[in-house]
Amino acid sequence: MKYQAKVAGKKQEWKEFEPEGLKDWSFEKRAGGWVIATRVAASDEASKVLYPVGARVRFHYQKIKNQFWAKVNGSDFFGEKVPITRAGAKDAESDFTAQFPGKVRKIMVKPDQAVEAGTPLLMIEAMKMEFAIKATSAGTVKAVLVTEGQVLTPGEKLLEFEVKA
Amino acid sequence: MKNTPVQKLMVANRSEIACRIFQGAYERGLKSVAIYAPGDEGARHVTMADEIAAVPSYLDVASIIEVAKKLGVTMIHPGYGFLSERPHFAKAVEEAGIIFLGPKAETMEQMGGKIAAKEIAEKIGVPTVPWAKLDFSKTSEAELKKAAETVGYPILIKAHAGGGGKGMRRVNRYEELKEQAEIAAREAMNSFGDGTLFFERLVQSPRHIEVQVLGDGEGGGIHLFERECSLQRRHQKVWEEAPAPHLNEETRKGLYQSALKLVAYTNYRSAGTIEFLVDQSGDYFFIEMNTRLQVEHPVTEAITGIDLVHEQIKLGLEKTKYILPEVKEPRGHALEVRVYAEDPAQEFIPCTGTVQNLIWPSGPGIRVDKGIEVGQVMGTSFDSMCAKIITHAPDRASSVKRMHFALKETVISGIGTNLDYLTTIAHHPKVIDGKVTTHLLDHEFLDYAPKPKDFDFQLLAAYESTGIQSAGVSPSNAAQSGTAKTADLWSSYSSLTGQGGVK
Repeated sequence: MKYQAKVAGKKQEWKEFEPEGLKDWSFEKRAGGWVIATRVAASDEASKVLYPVGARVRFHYQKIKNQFWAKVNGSDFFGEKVPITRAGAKDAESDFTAQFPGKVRKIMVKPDQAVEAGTPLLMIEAMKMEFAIKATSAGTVKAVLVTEGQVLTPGEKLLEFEVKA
Repeated sequence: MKNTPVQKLMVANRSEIACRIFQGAYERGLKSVAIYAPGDEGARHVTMADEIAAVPSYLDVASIIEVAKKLGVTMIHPGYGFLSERPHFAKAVEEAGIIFLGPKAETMEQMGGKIAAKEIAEKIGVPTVPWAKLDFSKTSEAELKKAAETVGYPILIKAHAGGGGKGMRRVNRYEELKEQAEIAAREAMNSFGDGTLFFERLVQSPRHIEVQVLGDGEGGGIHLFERECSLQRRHQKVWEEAPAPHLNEETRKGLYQSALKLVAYTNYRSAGTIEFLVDQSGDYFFIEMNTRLQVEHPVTEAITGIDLVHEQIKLGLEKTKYILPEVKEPRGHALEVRVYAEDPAQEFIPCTGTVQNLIWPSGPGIRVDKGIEVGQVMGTSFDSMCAKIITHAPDRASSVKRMHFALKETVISGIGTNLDYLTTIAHHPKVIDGKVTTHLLDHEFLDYAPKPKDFDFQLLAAYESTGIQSAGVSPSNAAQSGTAKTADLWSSYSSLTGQGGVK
């Protein structure tokens, strides 16, 4: 099965090693949480330059269901790892759901409105602040599923959005 | 010798600042009391105090005073935010016969209103920025336009009753002004119950520099040098340092003198901060006085060697006999970053969840003030700041390197944080050079995005395929037994729940 990672609202391919590449690394999980990966073989010539046999990489990886938090090579990222299904590939970016409790302040788009990436769609109020929900890609607003003033619970769907092909 | 009664210090606050004050209380031999509001039962600060008490809210003055009296509290530290700058709270504490570890209520009244504070500053010869005040709901379009023209664009709209930067907005033209003022008035009404707005000329590409002061309440006062706090996002500070880099000596001296004038005029008591904007020519303008201990106080402590909480406690106990500490030349350079549970790549929305694992940096010159622990649930009821990482080194360049190291060593999992954003900022060429302005995070550095590499995913996927992750002992999954390898390795993780077995 193939997976994609949704980091910062944007999906990207979750690349996995070829089967023989899997044998290139050995892993040691420390009780404190760090994992030490050591390169033990080099089936892949290209990556040998950066990570010769014997190279060590320290990382931290926590996953609960499909949510993950990673720190690799000094950078931190977190998001979702989801299987790519035929229909699912596009859904990731057209999925606008409430992430935290709040209130719909303002609806800035209408059904059937075409928007560019970055266009503010809704203003949400939470923790005494207002946040804009923006289109992550160009597309068309199919339906607005909330009304101004509506109180949101996490997971509630806000919009139906079709990503521009 | 006279028997001194046992002193008991309550912190009317939460999170990292409560924990930090408990350290001070312990070191001075005081008993400590924590309060917690609903939703905060599992917070770190609750574990640190000798006694704890539930209150309906951190803003509920009557309940806090009642609990304090019941437990025999002899002094209250308000921390920052919440009731820290509310004169009626300070008054209520002192009327209950409890020592308030902060300024006098009258000083808060005097300096709390941004307008009154500016008038005082003008009167005693401290430079200020052009401004106007108005009640949006009662202002006609013509009046709005006129007020804006008097102040001059670009204009900064603030809540008159506000603080901490929330709800501040910049407008460049009249067309934006009306809409933004409306939002600001609404936010101000919701947050503070007062929709009065404050317009102020925005000084272009300024630096935000503030002076830490300490007063004995009898007219005596000292400054503890300045802090550079220009790296702000939507007026929330992200990165602070002391001393301010690339600041000419004349401006520096001017800032100290102005700060001391305000301390003397107000007979300031306890720790406080005078905030200034400094433009590129070195001219400076007073913005406001924060009558409390600041979030970023550790950088001052690092370069002066003075523990501000200890001083506040000593002053509270010794009163008129209190002697201000001797200040030496600042030593080295200190930096602080604020770790927030938020997603910097998605409009900085707050992140919720259960803290799964924490690894904090340590080593020479590294201090971590933290308000979270493993298993703690981060909700949206409270501010999303969960820790501060402070580094101190003999010079700025070394301190920046030390911060790079500290961030590299820090792990927070289970909740999303701005750690990667902080790391990226810490490596920004302008930050490395100390060429910071308040413009940087809101207008120049906007293309932040986490950039996981293909290799990172490959490594994580390879690690998953070993099955070690689910079998290993991580603090929150300790009860989880080893999961056997299955054909679809992915499915073996579905047994984990969002709570990770932690309550």
